[in-house]
Amino acid sequence: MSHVLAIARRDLAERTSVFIAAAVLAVLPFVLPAVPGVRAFSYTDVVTTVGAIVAIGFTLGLALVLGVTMIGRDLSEKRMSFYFSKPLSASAIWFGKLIAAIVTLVVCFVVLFFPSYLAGTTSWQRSWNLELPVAFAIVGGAALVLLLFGHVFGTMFRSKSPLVALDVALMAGAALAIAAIIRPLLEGFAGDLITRVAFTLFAALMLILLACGAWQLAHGRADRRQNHYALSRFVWVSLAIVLVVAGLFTAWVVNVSPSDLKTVNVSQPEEGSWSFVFGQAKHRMDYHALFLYDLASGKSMRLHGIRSWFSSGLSRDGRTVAYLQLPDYRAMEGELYTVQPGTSGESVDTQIAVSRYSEFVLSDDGARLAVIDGNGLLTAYELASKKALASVRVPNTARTMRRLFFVSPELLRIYIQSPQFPTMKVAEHGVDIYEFDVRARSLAHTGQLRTDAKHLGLAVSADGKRALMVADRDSSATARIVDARTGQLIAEAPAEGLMHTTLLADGSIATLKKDASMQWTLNTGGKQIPVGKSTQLFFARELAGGRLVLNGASNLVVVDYVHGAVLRTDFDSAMTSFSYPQWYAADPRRSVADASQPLAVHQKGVLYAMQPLSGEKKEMFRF
Amino acid sequence: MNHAETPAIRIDGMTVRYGRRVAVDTASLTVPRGSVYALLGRNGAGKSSLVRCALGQQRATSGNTEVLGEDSWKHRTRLMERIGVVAEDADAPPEMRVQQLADFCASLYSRFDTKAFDARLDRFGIAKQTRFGDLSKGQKKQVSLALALATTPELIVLDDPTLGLDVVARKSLFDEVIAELADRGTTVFLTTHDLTGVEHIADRVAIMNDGRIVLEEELETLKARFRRIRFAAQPVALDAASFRTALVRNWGAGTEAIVSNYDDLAFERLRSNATIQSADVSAMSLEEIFIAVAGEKQ
Repeated sequence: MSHVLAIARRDLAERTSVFIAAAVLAVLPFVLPAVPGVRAFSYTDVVTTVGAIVAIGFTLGLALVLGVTMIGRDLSEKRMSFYFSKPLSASAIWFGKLIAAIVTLVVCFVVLFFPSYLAGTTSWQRSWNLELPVAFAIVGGAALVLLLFGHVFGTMFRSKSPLVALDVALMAGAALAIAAIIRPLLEGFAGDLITRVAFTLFAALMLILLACGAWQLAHGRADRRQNHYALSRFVWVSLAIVLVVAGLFTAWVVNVSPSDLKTVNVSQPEEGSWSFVFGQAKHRMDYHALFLYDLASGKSMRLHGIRSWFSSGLSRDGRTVAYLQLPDYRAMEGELYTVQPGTSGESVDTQIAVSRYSEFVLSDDGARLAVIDGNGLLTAYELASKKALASVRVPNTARTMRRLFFVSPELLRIYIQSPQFPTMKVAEHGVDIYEFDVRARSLAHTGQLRTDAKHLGLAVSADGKRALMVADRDSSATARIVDARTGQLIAEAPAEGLMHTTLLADGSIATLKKDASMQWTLNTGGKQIPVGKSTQLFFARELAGGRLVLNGASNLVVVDYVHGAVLRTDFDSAMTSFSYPQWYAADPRRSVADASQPLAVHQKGVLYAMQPLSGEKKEMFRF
Repeated sequence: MNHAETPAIRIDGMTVRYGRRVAVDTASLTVPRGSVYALLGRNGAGKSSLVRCALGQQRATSGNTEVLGEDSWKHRTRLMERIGVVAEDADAPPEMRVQQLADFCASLYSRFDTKAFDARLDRFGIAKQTRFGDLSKGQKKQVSLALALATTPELIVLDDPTLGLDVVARKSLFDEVIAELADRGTTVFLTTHDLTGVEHIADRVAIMNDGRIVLEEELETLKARFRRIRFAAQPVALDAASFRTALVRNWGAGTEAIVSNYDDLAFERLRSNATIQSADVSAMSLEEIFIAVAGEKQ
């Protein structure tokens, strides 16, 4: 240790001129306010602002210079033998010089910063809006990075060795490797995990750079090129080890199956047995994964897309899935991919670039796809040829909810619903209805709806002929059955809130109502069907044959609304369905599920595929 | 092998390469303790590379080096406590004052003799507050030597210590080395091409040429076996007397030969057997031997 300090003292004794320069510069912020043109500004603001800029600029600049010169200059001027001809270890030389450089930086920063800071502490806080320790940590961290990188680059480039070309190539390789490590985590919405991984990589890099000087001098000693060779070997081998470990970690993180999830959300279409399963993975912080999951067979396909319920969809025939894949979870734009679940086919890049806030739907047969962006630009594509068939700009789409579906392969119906989000107060809501003829490339405004509400729900019957508009005002709700194309009123009746009102396959309305004793009643077609006691209950899905699945926090009920009978009740079973009326899905159409289709339910951390009529459950996976 | 028998330096098959260029080619030498060993060679012969590797400042491409019985690469830090070094180029930081240099060295060596250092500086007439960078080349070498000797080393290594020095500075430097030898019997290993200076103090020499050690032996033995023989006529069949010639060239109307295994009896036999009209045998200085061995081939 005494040798480390001897080296540090020696280097510091050499830097008197640097300290004097810092002291002289520290006067500058106090002189500057006297300069004509600057006098107009507040004295303390000028002093604190200029003082901070000079202190930070000088410190960072000096850090780079010291980094480049602290070893590199002695090597290139052949003076390193002065140290190596004495009983000094390579570590003592390196850490002595490093400590001297850090002390130099700290002293210069203090000399430059504090006089101006003390002249106007309040002004400083106002100007920079930073806590002092945070500011010191940022400047200190940046200075250390510049110092260590300066040393590495100084050693590499001062050696004048052709090995520099290899270093540059390896730098590029390391950057690509880091991108390859981070990118899959970005795709998995793992912001916290990325922060942790990035911090760990950075800390490992800093440790490598802190240690590399000692290794370099121990193996390169007084020879300039051998120093470069030793430094490069240490840095690249250490970094390669770190990157391989990080790469293996990332590979482990992304290699998840549905059973590796600890939270599960299922988005289950009415057609087919394939569902979207999305959730946060176990032991992987906030890493999320999206799967296509077959409730019949338990097979799964990993999708590198974003959350199913706002950026992916299944065609009505259940055969084609479209999903948005973003380069990272913060990206605003990505590309649409399609996949045929259950087939051996890979995901197909449609090369359709869309904003993450665009809405897209597949035609019922999955052959076409329509996208509408936030500016109202609507485009229909043919997926097989990856061609845009027609585009049109739909008016008045600012701050609106855009919903659409293929009435037929050549005709799109669009609902522009405003405002975009529920309001705090009861206010007028509107829905404008358009139809876009893809072949004729013509857009027609076919109707509109107006109502007052806090929450507005719009659902269209499976055949696309009738629409239900629920105006939810918290204390009361009104349901209107309208023509889905023109908005013309067909019938109007009092209703319950959005979760307790639904549009049935026959175009009629069903509502759920509870009394003061938590007893629920299903009202439909003039029938009132008591369904039992529960704290919460809402519509989950409609099954073919006039049956409804109702679900609460821990209850599941199946009702035959045609015959007014409760077919099954699973009260207090802690069993919850993932299905619920999607009032805000891009495709507003309701559909009816085949009664034989399994229903995704979860109970005590297990996902089951349940036959809704028989209640038979098949365990799919634990989470 | 006990401590006294261990050579001060033992280099075995050292090779140093810089890319494709071979600076030191399988060099081997042994420096006995208490000796003054001079490694001679022209500029670029590979002396400094050999010294840097011997001192553990640079790694040889291959070969073994032991200094004071220890591997000089592995145990450099420990060894440097026992070795004083004067580098070819004065390598102390130019901003440091002589006093600061002394203080710095005193903090590193347990046996640093401050009084001896001060006494030498006085003899050299160098002020302690002078910055090292402001000293003349000769003064820098003198300060470096004073620092090296103040560490009371068992071995002192001088890498071309008189390079670029005038006659007075050279004499002053060698006087200090001689005094050190007289006082403490320190082993001295020096590289130089200042042959006249070293001839009076060295007791063992090696000559290095093109990276190879071409000659290594006691100086007296070397001088005893090298002779210049000048014949009035030519040619002369020297091999008849089993003389090995280091150099044969025309000398006026006759021949000059430098033989490396001179023997009075053999020469007398040659003179009596051959029809040699006139032959003049003269002893050679170290410089002449060096030129004969290393110089003419260049």
